[in-house]
Amino acid sequence: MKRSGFQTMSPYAYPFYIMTHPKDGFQEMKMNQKSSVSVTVLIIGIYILVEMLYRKYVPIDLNEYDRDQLSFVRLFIIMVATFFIVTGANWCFCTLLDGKGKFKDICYVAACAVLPMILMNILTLIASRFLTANESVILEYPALVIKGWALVIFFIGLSEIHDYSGKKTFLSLILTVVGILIILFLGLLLVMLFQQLYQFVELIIFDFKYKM
Amino acid sequence: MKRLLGILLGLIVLTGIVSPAYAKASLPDQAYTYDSENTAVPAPNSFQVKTIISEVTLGCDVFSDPQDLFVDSEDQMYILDSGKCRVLWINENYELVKIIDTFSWNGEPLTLAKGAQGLFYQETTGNLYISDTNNNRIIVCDRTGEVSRIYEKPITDLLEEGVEYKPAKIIVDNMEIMYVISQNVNTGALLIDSDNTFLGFYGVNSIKNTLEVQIEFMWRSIMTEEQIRQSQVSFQPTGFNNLYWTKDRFVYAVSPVSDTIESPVVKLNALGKNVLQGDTFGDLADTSITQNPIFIDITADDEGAFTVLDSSTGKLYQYDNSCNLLSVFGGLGSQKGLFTLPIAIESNSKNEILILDSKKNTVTVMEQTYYGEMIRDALSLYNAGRYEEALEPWLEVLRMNANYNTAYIGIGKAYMNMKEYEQAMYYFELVEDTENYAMAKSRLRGEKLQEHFAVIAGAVILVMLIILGYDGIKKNVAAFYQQIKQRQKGERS
Repeated sequence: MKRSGFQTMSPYAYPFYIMTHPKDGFQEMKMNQKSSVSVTVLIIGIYILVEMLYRKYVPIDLNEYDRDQLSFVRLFIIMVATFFIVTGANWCFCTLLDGKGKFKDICYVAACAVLPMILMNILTLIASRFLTANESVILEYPALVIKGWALVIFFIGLSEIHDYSGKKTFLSLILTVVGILIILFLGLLLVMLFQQLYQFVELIIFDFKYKM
Repeated sequence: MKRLLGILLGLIVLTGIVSPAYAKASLPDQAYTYDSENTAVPAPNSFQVKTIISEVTLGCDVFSDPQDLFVDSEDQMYILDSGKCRVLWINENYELVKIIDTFSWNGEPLTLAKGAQGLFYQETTGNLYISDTNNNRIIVCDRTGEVSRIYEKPITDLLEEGVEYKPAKIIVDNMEIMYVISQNVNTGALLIDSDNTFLGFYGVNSIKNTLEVQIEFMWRSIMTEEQIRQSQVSFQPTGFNNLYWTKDRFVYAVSPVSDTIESPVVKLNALGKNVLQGDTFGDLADTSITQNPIFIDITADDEGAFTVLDSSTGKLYQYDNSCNLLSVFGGLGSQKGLFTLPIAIESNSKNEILILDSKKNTVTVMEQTYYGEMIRDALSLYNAGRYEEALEPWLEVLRMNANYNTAYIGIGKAYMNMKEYEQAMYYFELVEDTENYAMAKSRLRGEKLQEHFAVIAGAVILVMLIILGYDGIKKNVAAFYQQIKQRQKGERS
């Protein structure tokens, strides 16, 4: 422990310290047992907001999203659902694999991993005002690097909070992917079941209407 | 009082029903165009029926299975009435000049076989070229019916012995060289000069290079000759259906749409190379549901806009010389403005399109509507690079049809030329033309940079100076203060 950031830093500045020093940062966070729910909510909220702004305001020559189909509600639901499915799946398997992290901690790690992507999106939003499609490489390569860094942060964070070795973290991540697939499968099954139920009830009402 | 009111009301309702507004005849409203995502969207009609020429308006007996139509530069029209083995000569006011039904060759009468398919009028020599398909010959006569030359099958090794020579469509250039499409020949048009010597083939359809073709090529390279002869797979290009000779010496050629050829509509230069940019023509609908278009005729005007006729839907598609869709009109049906068996189209100097229907036995003359004229004006200016002049007509087009894609691009380019880049970007954004949008944006950036160059450069230099000289400045300032302090000390002491 070269320096103790957590005592002196405000909880809102701490994710920035983790972003640049993931190993030290998460160790201290774990030691002080201070993963903050409010910080997690704030970061995810800002991420959704910035993503929305990105899709709406980045000009067409640099925007890869279809702007005719833009819906804030839909984006919000999809992103929140994705967040909870990933963290939920990880929590499910890591509790089975003797992980020491709580659900709160996993969410905090995910939020910290998302932080560099927020900064990149803000940078793109500003730079896209004056960069054109010809110079899109200037933004594309840093974005790729940033995404890689986000993964690294997520990986280190998980291994720290669960007290795992690198190998075990990797295994848990693979299991998390399996878990995500299982959750999606069950969700799909549930949706289909309710759809059939709905149709069944609708049919009965329809029949009643015409036979009464 | 109540009764009077009732009668009055009844009268009002009655006049409403029989009011002439409802009785007005117009084209069935089915015009459309394609938007930036290639979905069909409604559009105003760009062509309307001007008049219909038939045996009634001409005052002759009824046509029988007419096969070809030709319009010369003075708008005189020639109809090849194949079933009655005659040619009708009609002037620019759609009145009959002469029926050419008796042909004489060296003083002896000569008759065409029924089912002649091609007709061309060569203006410099005043000769009519008629391909007498079922007699396997082409006859050349003047407008009185005096036959001057007869061309039988040219003698050459390049035409196979067994294949019958059936000249169908024909065009003739200024050197009196004939471009003949013969049925059963799919290696391009036959080039035949005025001495009936075969010069070669012209403009063959090239086969699309697909994976299937490549695999077949690979197999053939290891097959024996016997196996190649027995193999069922063959990649034959479809032959041309029709040709059109333009004044600036290009030849348009059409063929049915198929998976094997590269483009169904080509504009060939003197070397027989295609110079058109586009390769998709006709309806963009899913061809697994609908039939492939079968293009059977094409006509073009001086500005390079061309119209193709699709016999499977009876529709006509007009494109500009960069293959932008201008309008779609026609269709199958018995109403006015629709066709039962359209067989040939021509255009005249008034930009009217004439469609020969071989079942209705009529020639429908379609003229451009105001909307169609506006599109044509705008596009001819636009294609000439006069973007700013095209702005007015484009805005007029948009007023009538907000779905017309090219209009937005045209307006955007006009504004870009007028250096109103923000306006241009707005219009490009509406049709998601990223390429032009990026161009306008970079020009806007360049302009802004030039405008505020002093401020930006100053700011950059200042920031760099501060970063580079921070320590130095700090030292100097400190030293300066120390000097002052020492001086003050010295003064005191």
